[in-house]
Amino acid sequence: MIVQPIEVIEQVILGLMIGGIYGIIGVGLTMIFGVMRLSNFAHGEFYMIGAYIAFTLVSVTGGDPYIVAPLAAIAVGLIGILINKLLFKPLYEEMKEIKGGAAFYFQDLRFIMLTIGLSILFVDLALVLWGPIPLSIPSPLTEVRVIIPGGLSFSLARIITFIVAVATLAALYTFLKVTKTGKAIRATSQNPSAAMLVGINTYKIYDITMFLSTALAALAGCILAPIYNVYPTMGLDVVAKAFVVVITGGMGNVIGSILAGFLIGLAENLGGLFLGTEYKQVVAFIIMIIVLWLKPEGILGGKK
Amino acid sequence: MNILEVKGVTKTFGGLVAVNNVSFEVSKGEIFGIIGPNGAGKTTLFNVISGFYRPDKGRIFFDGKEITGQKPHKLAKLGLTRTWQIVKPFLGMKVLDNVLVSIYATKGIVTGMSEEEAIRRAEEILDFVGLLHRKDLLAEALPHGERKRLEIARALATDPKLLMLDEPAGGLTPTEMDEVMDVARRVRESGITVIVIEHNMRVIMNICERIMVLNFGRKIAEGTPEEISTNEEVIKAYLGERFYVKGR
Amino acid sequence: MLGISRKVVLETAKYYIVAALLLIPLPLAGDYVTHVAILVMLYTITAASLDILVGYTGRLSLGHAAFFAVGAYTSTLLAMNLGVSPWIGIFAGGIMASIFGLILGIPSLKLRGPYLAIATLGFGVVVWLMLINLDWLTRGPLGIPGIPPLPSIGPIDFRNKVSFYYVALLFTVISIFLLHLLTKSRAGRIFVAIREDEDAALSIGVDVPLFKVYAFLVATFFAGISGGLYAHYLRYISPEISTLSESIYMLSMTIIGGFGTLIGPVMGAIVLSLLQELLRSYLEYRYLIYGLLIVLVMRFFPKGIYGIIELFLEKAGGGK
Repeated sequence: MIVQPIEVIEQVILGLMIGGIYGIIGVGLTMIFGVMRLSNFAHGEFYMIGAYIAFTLVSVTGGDPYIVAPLAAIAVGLIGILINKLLFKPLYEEMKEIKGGAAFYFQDLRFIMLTIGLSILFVDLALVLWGPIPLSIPSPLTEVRVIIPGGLSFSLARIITFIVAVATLAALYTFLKVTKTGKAIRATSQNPSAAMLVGINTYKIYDITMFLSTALAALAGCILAPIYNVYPTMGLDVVAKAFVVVITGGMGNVIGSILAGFLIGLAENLGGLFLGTEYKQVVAFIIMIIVLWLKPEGILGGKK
Repeated sequence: MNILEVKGVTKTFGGLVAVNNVSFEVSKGEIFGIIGPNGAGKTTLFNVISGFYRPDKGRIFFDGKEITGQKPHKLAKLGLTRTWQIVKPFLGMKVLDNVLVSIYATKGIVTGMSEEEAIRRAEEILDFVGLLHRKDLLAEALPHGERKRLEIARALATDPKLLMLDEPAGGLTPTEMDEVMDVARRVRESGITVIVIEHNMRVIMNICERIMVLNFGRKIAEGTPEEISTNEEVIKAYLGERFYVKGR
Repeated sequence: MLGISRKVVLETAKYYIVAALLLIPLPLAGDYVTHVAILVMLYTITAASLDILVGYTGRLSLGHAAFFAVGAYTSTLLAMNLGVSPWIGIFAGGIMASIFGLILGIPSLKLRGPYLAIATLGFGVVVWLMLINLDWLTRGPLGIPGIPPLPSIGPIDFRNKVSFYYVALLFTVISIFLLHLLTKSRAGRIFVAIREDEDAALSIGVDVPLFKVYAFLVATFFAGISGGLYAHYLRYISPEISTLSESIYMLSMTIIGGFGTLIGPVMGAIVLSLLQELLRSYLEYRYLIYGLLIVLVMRFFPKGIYGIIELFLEKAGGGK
């Protein structure tokens, strides 16, 4: 099999495009971990629900998926807050009197199992509400093709997806750097007890983080929906990769996750090109294993 | 005869020098104290000697053999065992099992002592630290003072030649402190060399024969309690500040 | 396996003999019940073996189904390509699963918590992809039909569900008995010490990496044995048995049952499998209820089913 240079360029562009989406999903997951020390195995389901809500909004209002996306993201963000208040907050309350030894490990297990339960529940809920058949959200933008020099062409939908992804990541970064809330989130992530001492309301920060994290996942689901199909287990297909991105970027590290998203997207597409598409999925895990082995704190090292 | 020789040990973290070219010797059978203000590098030094950190520079000899960079579990089997400033009992296990694990780990799970012998030994050690009546409780049921003594018992069960105690009296009431000091003295009487890091002056002056003082990672003095308490540099760096706090 | 007196071995054995005797008449309840019972028993082996890792040693694994699958495929391929008797193949499958356990266990020694969870998850995905992509060996996603049954012994034909039931019962009782002894042994208590505090364990002479690997070897061996039995019972396997959802299913049995108790995961396997069977008629609501149950148990009873029973017994005891 001879690989043409133009194919490489095409895969690099496609890799960066999907990498932006991985970044958005990964950032949400890494924020939850950083701020709440919680590995959210239901993260993919927020992505899935986002896509379904967009589908429903599109079929009811007849609007374009890109226009309803923010609405769907906010709706899912509110669900995130609700879950935080109903399920996670009481557990943190119980954890206040945590003892040493294996207690932290037990809490980890409890949270992981709890979110796995949520994931199973949500997947079936989607199955009951929307049925097992993959749905597609039509957008006229998928039909428009943009031709770039060299003979490559991409659908306008993909290009818009990429722009939305990059803009969202930039906005999130600015939010975390500049605003008071953003700074409080970062402080909580770096040193929870110190953040509490300077008067940051941890539970409020948890609420905001859950909102952002789940809304971002949902947004990713919405803007990908016109390109891929919407189906109940789509979140499961993405959650493992989201974790790979988060670990590669360093757990809790926002910038690391963004970079890792692009890196994994690129590596996957190039790996698929050179090794064959059946190995596309393995590439991400191999990168993660190498990172875990050589730099377990992630590609950016210990910085946050 | 020296049981431990530390020669020019340096340990840095990033740009921070936690232990800076520290050398000292501990002779067999003594109680050796290490003091110094917070952040002086005492616990880092312990971590280096006990194999949890590898020193950047310097060498360590234990019982005549070089042990620089040896893994902690190997050192424990050689007879060098440490306790922890923040106690780490196996909370979810019974008190007796806490001590038994030490015996299994050092003597081997297949070839080691017979079970009856191991239990007898563990009970002996629990009796030695005054916890025999607690042996069937879970470690998490013990109050802080008893956890400290369990930690010592667990270390003793490895049958050490050198026992390194990291702030054994930290966070204890005066009565509990007396109990721990008594245990430390009796450990020494049984022929085990003891190194102790301590914040509490009463404890350190009471039980140690020789004391080394660290400040900002460097050794600034070494000598008998009398020598140390009259050493000007020590008073400046450490005791003065401490005594002001005490005299409040 | 030392550190257990003969008395304890015999006393423990008594319970298992009684349990085995009580389960002997079960096939009288008919073919369907026998079939479900066989599958439940195979799950109890995997859930209990996973507990050695998750509950006792404090090593979270989200890839246990991979080892089950390695056992199943090894025994199957040995029987079909090399004509190895499945009686031997099942053990070879266990050993092969252990070898895979080493491949995962050694590089992941330093990982903890969520890192280990994702590494094991990734390993499971890689095994699944291997089973799909190495189609010259595994027939890929189609799976392997027509797996030979366990060879008959004299007149006993193991294609018969009832005969197989007794094989499964024997394997299950012996496996869980051995795992039970392990938890009471010296090694078992060292596992718990590692779970409670790795540094403390190191400082008293525990060769932590060695014992972590040991726990991996044991847990994966029994998962492999269970997989081999599964293959020669259903006589059809596909990469589906190694998926993440299978691993999650096994982990949920261990955790919902009550990890670190061995008997809890056994109960977890029984309760969750039976629940799946009972909910079968609700079809699409099945996982809704299943997921909700996991959420509720984890929210209110972190010690799982075992913890609930303990509470119950305490209350009953206190009432007297």
